[in-house]
Amino acid sequence: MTAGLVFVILVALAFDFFNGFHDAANSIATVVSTRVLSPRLAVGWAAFWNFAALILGTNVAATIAKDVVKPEVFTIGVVFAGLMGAILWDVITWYFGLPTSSSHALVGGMAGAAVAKAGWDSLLGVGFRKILVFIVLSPIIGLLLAFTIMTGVFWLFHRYRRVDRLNRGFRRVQLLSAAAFSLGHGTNDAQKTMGVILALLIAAGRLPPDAGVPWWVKISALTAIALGTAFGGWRIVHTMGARITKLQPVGGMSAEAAAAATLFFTAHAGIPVSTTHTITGAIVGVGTTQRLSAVRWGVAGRVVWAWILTIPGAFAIAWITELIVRGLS
Amino acid sequence: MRIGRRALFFFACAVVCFLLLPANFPEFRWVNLAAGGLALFWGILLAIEDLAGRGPGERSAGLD
Repeated sequence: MTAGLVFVILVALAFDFFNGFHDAANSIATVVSTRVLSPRLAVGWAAFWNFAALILGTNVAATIAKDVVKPEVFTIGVVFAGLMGAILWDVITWYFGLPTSSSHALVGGMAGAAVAKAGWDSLLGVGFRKILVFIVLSPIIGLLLAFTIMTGVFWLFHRYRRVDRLNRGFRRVQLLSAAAFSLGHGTNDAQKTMGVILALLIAAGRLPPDAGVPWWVKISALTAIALGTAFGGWRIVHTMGARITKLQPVGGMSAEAAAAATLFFTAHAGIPVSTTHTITGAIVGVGTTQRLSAVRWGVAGRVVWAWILTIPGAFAIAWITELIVRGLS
Repeated sequence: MRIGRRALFFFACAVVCFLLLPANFPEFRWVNLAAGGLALFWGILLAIEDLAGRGPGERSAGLD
């Protein structure tokens, strides 16, 4: 492999690490805010289940590598610029404590770099259509499933008076739901990096155009995201877990189970969605079972603005970076 | 007695799901229909609850 190729693969893995740092906090926000696990244990639990996504498929990676930007447009410089757009956008939003989507930053970054290189024709409608529709649908699905699970629990246990014992039971179940969500996060988000590295290897002629994801790419991407999770992003834990709505174990369990189900479906269907969008929708769904005012709409609205700005923001940064890279080379 | 904000919120979710139906790929349109249908179901139940004059606090078992 050339030094340039190795360097950009390392940058992709660094993005994956930041993705874990930035997004994987979502996996632990509810278990931390409900005090089911200490932050340290929660981080280890989430990192382990992130890595366990190794056993799941790679449909999302194929979408990122082949359905968003025309594969022939990818070069080392384009992928580097796209990654820089996504990483810089993530760093900016992390600094301001906004739980934005690393996934959409990556899509925006890749699109910006490709457009700077080869114009608007370099984008493929197939992948973008899926991504844009599910930007809106994934939080709504999370919200509806969480509301349904939470209401179902209320119906099942509304006559049960030993609330302390019930809450203890839900704390245990929440360990499983947190694991399921981390597994969903690992399979969805690490696959985006796998997709970028796959596109890079195909562009560099190291793999045939119809190749699948090599095993070493899977392991390195999952290791990077798990390490990112292990280092955590405490600002975002605070925003997600406590500032959108106040959660109890039953609420945390409902939100995570709903978000995990949504992520498993979208990963299986090869649709890249944001884990952040999905868990935020689910947390709002839990809050809505009490009353709409239980949701702090000011914070939720700030998050929505960050969502809207993510693709254009990363696009612009990547577009400028690609021009600079081309100018320098 | 009038319909509360929660019911309207779920009706709005249903509208968004159905509006996105033509934009989605045919193989995934069932997702819009299922999500929209579920939102509509909850919207209707909450509207009935509002019209019947029952408060939202009654269903809580102290878990929230």
